Amino acid sequence: MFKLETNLLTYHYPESEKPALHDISISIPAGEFIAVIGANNSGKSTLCYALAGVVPHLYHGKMKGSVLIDGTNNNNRTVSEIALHVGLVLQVPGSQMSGVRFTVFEEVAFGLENRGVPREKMRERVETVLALMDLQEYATRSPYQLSGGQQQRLALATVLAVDPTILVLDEPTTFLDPQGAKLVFDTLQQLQQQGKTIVVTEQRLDLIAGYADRVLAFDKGHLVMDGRPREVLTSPKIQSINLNWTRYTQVADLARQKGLWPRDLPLSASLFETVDGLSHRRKTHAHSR
Amino acid sequence: MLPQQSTATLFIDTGSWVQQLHPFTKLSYILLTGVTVYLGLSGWKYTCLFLLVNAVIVASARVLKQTFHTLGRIMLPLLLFMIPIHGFLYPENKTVLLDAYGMTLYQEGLVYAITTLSKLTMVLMASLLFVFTTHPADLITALSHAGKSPSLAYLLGSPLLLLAGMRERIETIQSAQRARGMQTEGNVVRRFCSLAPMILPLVIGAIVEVEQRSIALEVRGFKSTSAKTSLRILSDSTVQRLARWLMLLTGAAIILFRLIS
Repeated sequence: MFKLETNLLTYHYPESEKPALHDISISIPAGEFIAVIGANNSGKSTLCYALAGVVPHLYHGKMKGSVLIDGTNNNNRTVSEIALHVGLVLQVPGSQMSGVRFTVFEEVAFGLENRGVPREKMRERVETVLALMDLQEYATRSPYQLSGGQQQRLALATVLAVDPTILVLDEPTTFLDPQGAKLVFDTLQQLQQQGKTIVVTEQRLDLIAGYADRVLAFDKGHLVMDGRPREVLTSPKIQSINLNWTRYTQVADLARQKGLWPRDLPLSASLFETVDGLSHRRKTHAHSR
Repeated sequence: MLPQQSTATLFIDTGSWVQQLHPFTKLSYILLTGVTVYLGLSGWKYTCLFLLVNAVIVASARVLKQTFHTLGRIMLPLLLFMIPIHGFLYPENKTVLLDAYGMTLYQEGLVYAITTLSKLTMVLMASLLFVFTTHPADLITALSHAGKSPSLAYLLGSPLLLLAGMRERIETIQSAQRARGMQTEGNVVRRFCSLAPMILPLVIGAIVEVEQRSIALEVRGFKSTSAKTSLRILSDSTVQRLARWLMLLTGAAIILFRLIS
């Protein structure tokens, strides 16, 4: 189980004066579910790329500080070596496809072929991953003939095939409907329960409140908040970084203004916390009467 | 495992014996056909014999209809163009075949055009046999097994899949432009004018996709230096290997003979 760390990580894309990431220091213990939030151009994707070694290995640019996976600096390994520990899922699932494999089965096997996994072991692994992602019935179909949600699950399957310990996903629900997005997060939760570390960037704050153990909020390349979902998502700072409170936080805030929310209870970020807060107030009210 | 629906490939899954052959065996056959037709045996008898042999192979590969359909579409315009050009204007024309309405058709030009077309037909037939009976993934696997660079295999294989994606993107852009009031159909001028607003987003989109895809390939170990394995199993045998060597040696012998003589 690998721990992921960044130490004073600063990164400039080539020919860019402003850093995309500025002095980022985070430590992610194994098995944690991390949600990274922020408006567009806040540095979320660059953080994903840095964790997977894509920056600076592929984008070059100027990097200070370090990214460590279980104590080993990413600078000392190739992207391909890093990928054995950190699986990166890109924002557009179609881009994750190799472009040279003609079926879903072959597409999932591509990463294993590149790493010299024997054929029989490869077949077993692909079948396991397809079952996990509920894609068995599409095994003989072209990756380009899948729906958005199926393609997203396939993108995740291609990464899971090599069994990395850490999964980094860059806005995996961008092209999905609410139901599809929930399915992806349910799968991620399942993977976390199997011991994977999950780092996912997401703009749907409602969604992450129910899944993440910890939320990192980014603004213009700076890490501005790092804490439990309830603590970060209900902070007034959320609005100052061009994001909105979740609808649950908005309900809780309105309830507080109307005197329907317990004074000593922080605002809620999820459905469960909101129901809990409102029922807590009713119970206290009934008891005092 | 073959796809139910191939994307932008001409491969037809017939399960014939030709389909089961190793891609390099079929490539060797194209090479031998080309060398024999252009440098080796010449004359009507051999041409007819070769055409017959090719037709039998194509028929046994169960792609006769598709091959002749494609051949027709390629060769018919060439036939309509070359017969009159050479029949009337071939520099070595001497023997008059037909003289009417002030125009003279010569035998030498006609023979030259038919010979050229039949040679082209034979090479095309062998090539179409390869295209219709070889799954692109098998060709890519064969190249990888032969120790060729993964980049070469990628270069050969990726257009077959990516072209379909590009076609889809063109349709999306066209729909978007139409929704904004642009006329994308109609006469040639109107169609030409609609090209620029379509090409620009297409090219920019393609550049972004190339960047993303190169990241995806890298993180999926495409450039990994470890020995690669393959999911697909290619059938090969000693007989096929011998046949390949025999075809290549025959081709080389014909070239050598031609050079010496």
